[in-house]
Amino acid sequence: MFIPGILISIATFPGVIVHELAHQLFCRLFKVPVFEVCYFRPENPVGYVIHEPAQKVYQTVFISVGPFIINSLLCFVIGFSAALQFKFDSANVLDYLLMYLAISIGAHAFPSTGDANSLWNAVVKSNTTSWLSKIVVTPIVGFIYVGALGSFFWLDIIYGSAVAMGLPYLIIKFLV
Amino acid sequence: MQENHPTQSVTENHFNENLCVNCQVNSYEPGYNTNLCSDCRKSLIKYPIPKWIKFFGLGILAVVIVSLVRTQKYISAAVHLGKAENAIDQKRFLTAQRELSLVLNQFPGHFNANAYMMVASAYNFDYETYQIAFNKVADVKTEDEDLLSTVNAASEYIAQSFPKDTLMYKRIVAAAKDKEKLLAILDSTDEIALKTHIANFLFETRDYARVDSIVNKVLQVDPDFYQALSLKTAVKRNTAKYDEALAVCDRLLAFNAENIYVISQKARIELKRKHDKEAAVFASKALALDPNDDSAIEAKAMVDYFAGRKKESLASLAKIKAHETQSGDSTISKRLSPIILGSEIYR
Repeated sequence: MFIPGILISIATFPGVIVHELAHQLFCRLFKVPVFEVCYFRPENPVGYVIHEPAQKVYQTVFISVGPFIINSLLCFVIGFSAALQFKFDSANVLDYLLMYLAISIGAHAFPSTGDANSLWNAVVKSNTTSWLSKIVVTPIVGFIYVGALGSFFWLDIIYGSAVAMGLPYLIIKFLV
Repeated sequence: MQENHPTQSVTENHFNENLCVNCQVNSYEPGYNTNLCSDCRKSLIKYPIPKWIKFFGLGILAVVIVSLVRTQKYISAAVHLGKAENAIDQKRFLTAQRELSLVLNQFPGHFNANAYMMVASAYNFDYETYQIAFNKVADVKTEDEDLLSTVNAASEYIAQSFPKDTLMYKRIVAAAKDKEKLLAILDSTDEIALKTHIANFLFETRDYARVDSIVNKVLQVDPDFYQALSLKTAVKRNTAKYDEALAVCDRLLAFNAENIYVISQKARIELKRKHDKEAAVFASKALALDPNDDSAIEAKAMVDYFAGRKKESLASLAKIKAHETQSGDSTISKRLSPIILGSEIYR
C-alpha cells in the first residue's frame, strides 16, 4: 500500500520534533550557531535546522546523525515498558499511546537526505578535510541514503517498531 | 533535516562585509565559517527553544520517567518467564515452577505463565498447583499449537497416576496388607494404575519377582508409566541389579531432570552397592534442588549414617518427622528409621 511520506510524517509528528530538536541540541553541544529551526510543518521538508558549518568533522557527523542516536534511544526507552505490557497481556490505553509515541520517534531516527547532503558537502566534497575523514564519512552518507530509500518500503516504520518492540524482547533473551 | 549556510538577516544593499553578518554592528570574530560577532555567536549558539517545544520535551521526559519506573517490574517478570521457558525446554521443571511462581505473583492471570505452570507442576506431580493454573486457563482459547500440545502432554502425564476405577482402588487399599487378596484382585482389573498400586503393596512383602513381573506387564502397555518405572528402580535396587536400577532412574530423569525423588533414589542405589562417594554427590544434588524435600533429606540421612555421622543422620530423621506432622504421610520416616536406628540391615 502506498501512503505519501508527508502523511506518515504528519501521523508521526512527535518523531519529527524530536529529530529537529536533536539536531539543535547537538549544535548547542558543539557550540555551533543556529540560524533557523522549524520543528514541524505539514510540507516537505517537514522540519529543518539551519546552522553554521561545524569546525570539526566529528562535530558535523554528530550533528547529522544526532537524531539517529536520540530518537533511537527515546524510542527504545519509551517502547520498552509498553512492549513488556503487551507481552504480559496487560496493555492498556496508555501502553498503546506509549507504543505510538515510541514508534513515531523511532521512525524519524534515520537522518534525512538533507542531512546526508550536508554531511557530503561539509566533509567529502570539502578540500580542507582529511582523506581519513572522507573514508569514514562516505559509508555513513551511503547508509543514510539507503535509509531514505528504504522509507519507500516503510523501513523507517519497521525500524521504529523493531527498536520499540523487538529490541526489548532481544534484551530479555540476553538477560535470561 | 539540517542545513548549514550563513545567515541573510541583513539586506544586501547596506551589507558591510567587515561587520557581523547578523547584527551589522560589531566587528566579526575571525576563524569561523560565518562572520559573526562574539555576542551574536553566543546568542545563536543558544538559539532559543520555543516554550511549546520545552513543554513537549518535558512531556517526553515525563513519559521516559514513567516508562523507566514501570519497566523495572516488567523486566523482572519477563526475565523470570524467560528462565522458566528455558527450564521447560531443558526439562528442569522444578526450576521452571519456581520461576513461574515469581511471574504469577505479579501477573496471576497471564495465560502463557499459567499454561507453563500447568506443564511444570504436572511433571513435578504437584496436583494442587496444576489445578490452580488449570482453572485460570481452562476457558481461554489459544492458537499456539506448540504450547497446546506441550500442555496436553503434561496433562496426560499427571493424569496417568489417577485410578479411573475408584471402587477397585478402594478394594486394593483395603487389601494392602493381604498378599493373597491382592493377587486375587490383580487379574480382575486391566487398569495399569491399579495394577501398579497392587505391585506397590506387594513390594512391601518383598516378593520382588512378582512385583517385577507385574511392572513389566504394565510397561508393555505404557513404557513411560511413571509409577511403574519408579517401582522398578526400587525392585532392581533390592535385587542388586544396580546398573539396571540406575538406567531406569535415567529414563525417569529424561522426563524431569529435576525429579528429586529419582535423584535421591540414585543416592540410595549407590549406597546399597557401597559407592558412598557417588551417593553423596546425588544426595547433595537432591538437597540443592530443595533442602526441605523429604526424599532428599532421607538420602542425606543415609549418606551421613553410612559415613559414621550418626548425629547428623538422626537430625535429618527428626526433620522428616517434623514435616510429616504437617503432611500426615509417614512413609519416609518408617522406611528410614529402621535403617539408621540399626534394626534393619540396608547393605
